[in-house]
Amino acid sequence: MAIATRSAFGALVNEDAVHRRLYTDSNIFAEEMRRIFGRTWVFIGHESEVPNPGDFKTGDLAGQPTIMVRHANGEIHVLFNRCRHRGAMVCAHATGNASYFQCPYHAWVYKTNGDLALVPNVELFGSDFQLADWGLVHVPRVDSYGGFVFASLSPEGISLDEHLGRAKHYIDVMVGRAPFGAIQATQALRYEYPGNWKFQIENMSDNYHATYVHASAFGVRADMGQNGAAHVFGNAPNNQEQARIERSFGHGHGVLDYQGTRLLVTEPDRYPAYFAALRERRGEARARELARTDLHVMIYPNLILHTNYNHYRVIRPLAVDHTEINTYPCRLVGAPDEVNEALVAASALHVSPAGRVQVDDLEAFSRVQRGLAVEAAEWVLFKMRGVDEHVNEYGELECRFLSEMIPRGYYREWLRLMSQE
Amino acid sequence: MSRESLQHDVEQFLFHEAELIDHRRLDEWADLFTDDALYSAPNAGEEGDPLHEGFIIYEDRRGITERVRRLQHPAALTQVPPPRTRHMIANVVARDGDNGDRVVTSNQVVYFARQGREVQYPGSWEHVLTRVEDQWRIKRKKIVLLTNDRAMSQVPVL
Ligand code: FES
Ligand SMILES: [Fe+2]
Repeated sequence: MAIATRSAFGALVNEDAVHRRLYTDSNIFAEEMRRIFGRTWVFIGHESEVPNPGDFKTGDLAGQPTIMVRHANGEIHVLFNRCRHRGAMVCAHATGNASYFQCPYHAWVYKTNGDLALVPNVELFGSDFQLADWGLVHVPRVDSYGGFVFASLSPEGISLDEHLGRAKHYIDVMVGRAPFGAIQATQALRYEYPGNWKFQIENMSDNYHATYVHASAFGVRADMGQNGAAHVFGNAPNNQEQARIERSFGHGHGVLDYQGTRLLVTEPDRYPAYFAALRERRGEARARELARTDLHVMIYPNLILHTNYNHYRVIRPLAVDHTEINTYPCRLVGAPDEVNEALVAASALHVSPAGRVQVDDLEAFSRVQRGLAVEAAEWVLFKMRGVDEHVNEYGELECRFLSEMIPRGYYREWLRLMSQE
Repeated sequence: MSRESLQHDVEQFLFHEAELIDHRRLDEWADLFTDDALYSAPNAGEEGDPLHEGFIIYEDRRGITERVRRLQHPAALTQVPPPRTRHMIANVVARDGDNGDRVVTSNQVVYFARQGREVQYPGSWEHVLTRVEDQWRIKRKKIVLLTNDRAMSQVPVL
């Protein structure tokens, strides 16, 4: 059975191309929910989204409603948002603070660690009915790194530590750019598009498209010079591919490393108070490196870190051809307000549904989705090979821009996960 | 000016602004703003604290110009073909602001149509209008969309 399945999905994924059905077949989408989002480590939220006891955020994991909540003792729990009585969602708010969750239907009351605390008319449930048996169900495995909370629906499997591997180093960079070594998420910018979820993660490892899809945003910015919006989120001309590096590693993860070729809000000489605070804690050399690090980090399957505009994006697949993205601009804790305002503004300008840049990507995604309805052309290509591809000292596959090496890594992981029963 | 004619005057201004946007006379639209203008739309809730809730739009006069130039750029994917929009304006209330400015609140719905897709953007609009050389100009424009609690896509000029 397992072999039959492997060959079924294996026929859809080649080394440098995948079949159009990966983006158009709702049966494959359902299998992805079961075998990828229902199994591997999936990003749920950052701890800073729920800073205080009782703070919660609802969401979903493989289409099943969840609550991430900070309990009175400070621990974070990820619970299924499903009353144990007859199944109602106990919490309908996106975010908020609660001392307990009361089901709207028959008023069962749960604590923020999931324990069932109160059942009206409990005496009628029989003498063997124990509150302790009927708490909210916990997602089987929850773990975090650098404040990034992940969950897995599979009770067993590799640890988060092993799943992340070298990605931990990049999370350290993201967090280490804050003078106090922590980021604070702000309210998500939310956008959606009529296309498959994989377009977003492919797009974030794709510098090939930027020159064309973003010609209007970058062209106008160049015309208007430093006094345009560039004062918020400067971007060097997109012609320095040879200096930039891509990496593919571990369980489908990848990095675009711009190697200091684009200007950042955090440039050392831009906000001297920020850099001084960072230098005080990290030393000159490390502070300079952190302040200038410009990465897109793709943590398969649903998390993307962007250290330039300082946000993380979360992919939420809704249907085979419908996806929602939540982008959380982050403050650098310990940095001056003006730096954080500039960072939050940079994300808004780029990623807002009323912004300049991501809207054009969404247009490209919807065109791809429509184009893939053509059955006569079956394959989606990832053939581009970067210069100087080699394995580096950390075991990452590395090459120079431009290439389609990182998505080839996504689809190796896709096939590995999809091939397991 | 009498109260009635002031009311009429600011309404006519909002209608004129909407017409410039809906007929893509965007350079003229940008020129309605003062040099120290702020054009904004909170990302969640009504206030838009930049350090917590953020904005989907937060632009000074220069940013507005950049927005317009991008929309007019021949390579702007979302603008080829351009969306067609119509602003519906109701419940216009004007009150006195500082230094002879007028604070005008209105309910608006922007209908958006493009390539078979139709979307509506309803919300509360607030303009702070100031008199420059005997013309109304926009000093502040803030939009609180009713839908800012959910995911949106390619929001048009509001
Ligand atoms: S369904 Fe929740 S109390 Fe009945
Ligand atoms: Fe892009």
